Amino acid sequence: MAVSHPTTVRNAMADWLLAQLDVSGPGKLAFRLAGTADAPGTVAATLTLSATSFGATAAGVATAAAIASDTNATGNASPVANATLQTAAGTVKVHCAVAASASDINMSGGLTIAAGDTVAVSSLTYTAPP
Amino acid sequence: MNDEFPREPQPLLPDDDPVRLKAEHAVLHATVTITRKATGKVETYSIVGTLADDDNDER
Repeated sequence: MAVSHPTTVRNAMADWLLAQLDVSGPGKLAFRLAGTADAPGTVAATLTLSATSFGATAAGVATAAAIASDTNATGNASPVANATLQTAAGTVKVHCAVAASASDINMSGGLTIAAGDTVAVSSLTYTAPP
Repeated sequence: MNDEFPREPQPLLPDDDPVRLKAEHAVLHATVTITRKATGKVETYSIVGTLADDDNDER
């Protein structure tokens, strides 16, 4: 049997989780090489979330407020495999594997961020478990 | 005597069962733009992130 939750519970779970990003200053969105939630991979780019990182969750979906670009990414020769949402102090709260579809380049080698690249995120949503 | 018990244990859903995956995972969506320092080229990506297990299962 599939596990699911009422929408009010999904909203509450997401709000509780995402509020933790804001506790010690603006949280971060980091793009990383392969790793785990407990042992995250090497960071390739770090973007700063707004002081209140996400708006109130509605219908299980939370939308991020404005995100500051990383205008001088650390970069890495290896492709990005994970993204994390974390506190200002670097404590990971959300860890996910990423798959990307590019609009205009060959993605066979994966999404790679080079040193000095500018990385911007124009939209970011978190959808709570069903 | 209740002849319905003991019941045979029901099999768990396989790891790749879409119902199970749907039940377990939150999802992150992002639109990412990368401006290449070396060329000035702008690349736009639509990223879907599924919460990863600790066994590092890439999707």
